[in-house]
Amino acid sequence: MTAKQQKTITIGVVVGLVLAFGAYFLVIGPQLTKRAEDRAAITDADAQAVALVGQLATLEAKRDAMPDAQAQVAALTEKFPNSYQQDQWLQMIMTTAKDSGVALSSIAPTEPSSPGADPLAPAPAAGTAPVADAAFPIAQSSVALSASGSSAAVARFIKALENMTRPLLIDSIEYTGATSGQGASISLTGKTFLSRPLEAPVPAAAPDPATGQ
Amino acid sequence: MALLTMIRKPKVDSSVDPLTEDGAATGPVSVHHWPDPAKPAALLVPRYVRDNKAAAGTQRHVYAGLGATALGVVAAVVTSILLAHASSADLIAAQAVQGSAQTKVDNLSSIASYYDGLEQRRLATESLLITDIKHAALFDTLYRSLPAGVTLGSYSTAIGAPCAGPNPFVSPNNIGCLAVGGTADSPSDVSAMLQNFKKGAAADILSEAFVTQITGAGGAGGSTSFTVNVNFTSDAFSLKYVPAEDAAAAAAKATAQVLANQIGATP
Repeated sequence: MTAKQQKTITIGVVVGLVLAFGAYFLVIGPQLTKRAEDRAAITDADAQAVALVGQLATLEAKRDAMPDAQAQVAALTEKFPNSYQQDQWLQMIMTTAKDSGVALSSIAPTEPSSPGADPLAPAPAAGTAPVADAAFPIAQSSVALSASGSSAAVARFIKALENMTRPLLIDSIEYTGATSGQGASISLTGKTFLSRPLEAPVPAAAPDPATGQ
Repeated sequence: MALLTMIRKPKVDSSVDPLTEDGAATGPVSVHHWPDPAKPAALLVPRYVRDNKAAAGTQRHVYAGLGATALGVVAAVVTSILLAHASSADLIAAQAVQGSAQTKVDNLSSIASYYDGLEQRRLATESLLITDIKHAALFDTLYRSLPAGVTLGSYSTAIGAPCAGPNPFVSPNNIGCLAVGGTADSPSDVSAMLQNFKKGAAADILSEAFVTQITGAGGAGGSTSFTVNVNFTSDAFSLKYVPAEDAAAAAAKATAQVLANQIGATP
């Protein structure tokens, strides 16, 4: 092989390599990289779509069961109203006392305190932020009551207090039995509760017939 | 034919000195002994011409190789671009599906919030009222346990603070204490009351009664006054604000809560 041939072959090989490498690094490589990125993005999008479809199915089932949920909220709101509605609450206590046959001596409710952090929630793990105070949806008001009547009436009063529409969580009871000339009396402390209003869901816009969305 | 003859490898006679041949034709060609007496005409062509022909042939081969390479490169480039475009189209389609599902989920987000709020309130009320005590049942049980001759003078509850009982060697599962005071015809009536605390329904809800004081011997014209501490157990929890299937776990949780002085859980 002559030097000229060797030179020709060398140049040819070099040009070929430059062509191949140039094409790979300038076009083929980036395109393959882009394709790999697209495939990864497609995998992610597919996974998210699957998760969203599952979520959607759950939400649609909830939407279909909205009347039941609204009934539950209404029942909850009856027990734990959004505001004190003190006139109704006082009427409830007085009716309970009257029906039980006791005479109320005093009623001392405190202003409802704004809800704090969930007192029963486990302490946040180290390095995590505590749940915001506003997250706890229930407020409470302390109540002190005293009443007097026969022992049987007092017993009925305690039972009636336990079964009021708006729950009264009794913390303590002091009972004094009847003595000659005087009936039994009872003093108790407890709590009644209010719940933060729950916003009604916004009806979803009707799907566009063209896009189905 | 001439080209094939040139390519065929000639035999070399090493005994012949190339310098003895024609001075213009140096090199191995001039010393070859061809099998055929008719030597190819190529041997008569000057060397530079033959070199040029060989170089031209090599050049053609190189051009052909480069062309094939370029063709391959173009094919690879086109293929990679087509694949990338196909992936892009697939990605757009997948993102469209995802976007559509996301839009539908977003449209129903207020329903999700509503249910979350409902669940949050349900759990909150359950957790607050889990310590609710059956005070009426306690009072009724206490009253029914009083034997004839004993009058209930007073009682007070202390939820979450059990009293010391008669047995210091065990830690019964008490959740609170009733401090009971009253009068009796005689100390034996007080003893009978303690026995009644251990019978029937009272035995489930009351436990570890302990008389802390008895004054007066009773009898004709006299009376006996007494004070008794009696504990109450986790059976005193009403658990009416928790689902029935969770009652056992709720009782355990409520017990832990009241004993940790979280009665009624004050935020």
